[in-house]
Amino acid sequence: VINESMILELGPVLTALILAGRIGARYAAELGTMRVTEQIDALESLGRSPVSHLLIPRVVAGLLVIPALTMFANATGIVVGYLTAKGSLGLTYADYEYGARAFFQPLDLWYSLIKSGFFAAAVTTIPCYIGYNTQQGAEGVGRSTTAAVVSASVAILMLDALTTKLLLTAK
Amino acid sequence: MANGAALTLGPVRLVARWSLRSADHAGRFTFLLIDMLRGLAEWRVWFPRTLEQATAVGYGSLFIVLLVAGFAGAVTSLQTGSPAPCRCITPAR
Repeated sequence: VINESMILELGPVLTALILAGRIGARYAAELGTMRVTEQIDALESLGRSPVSHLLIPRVVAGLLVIPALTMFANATGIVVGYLTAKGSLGLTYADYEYGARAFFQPLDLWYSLIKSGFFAAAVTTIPCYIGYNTQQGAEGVGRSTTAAVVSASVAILMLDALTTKLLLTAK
Repeated sequence: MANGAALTLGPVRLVARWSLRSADHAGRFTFLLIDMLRGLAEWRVWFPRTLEQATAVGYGSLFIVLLVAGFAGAVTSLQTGSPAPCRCITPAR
């Protein structure tokens, strides 16, 4: 139960929600500040593409890092779950391993990776879009940051429902 | 327009304004995605910055992600292992 819960749901969704707060706020604030201080306009006037310099590195980095962090989160959750079961419930490693192996399917790991890929796209592109289109000075940066985190979190939960439906139907 | 003035508009106008704004965002977002796909060809520009961003984001977020995952695993384990209260209906004798 612990393995299935962590791999299928808790690992990808919790990681994505945490990163929506961390990375989403960071990206929206950075890009919003660059927009209102006209650094993005300066890049454009120099003939450089702000998309290639500012947006693509952030989105690609998120797409690479978030699935990896999700896998680390899954592994940590499973190990801590075992240690807790051993410490407080007296479960032996053999029992835990037997239960984990009985319900494990390799497809679950792919399922987790695909889900985290969708979440990574939402966590990176939405804050980048909102930060890139910031207006109205310092107040606008604050508003963009809040909007980015809220929008990314809502998108994650909507994508969670969608991918669960799609992938479990395919499974 | 200020929020107070927007509230005095009729519901049809409010819905129309919200729909237009949503369509505007969807269009801009799509154009931004297309721009990003086009920009992928300039890999000499974005690749070094990607590594910097990935390092900053990955190392910076690792601790909090592992901490939360650890707590989630512990709580799931405790809830799974704890004896559930019996809600069986005792048959009438």
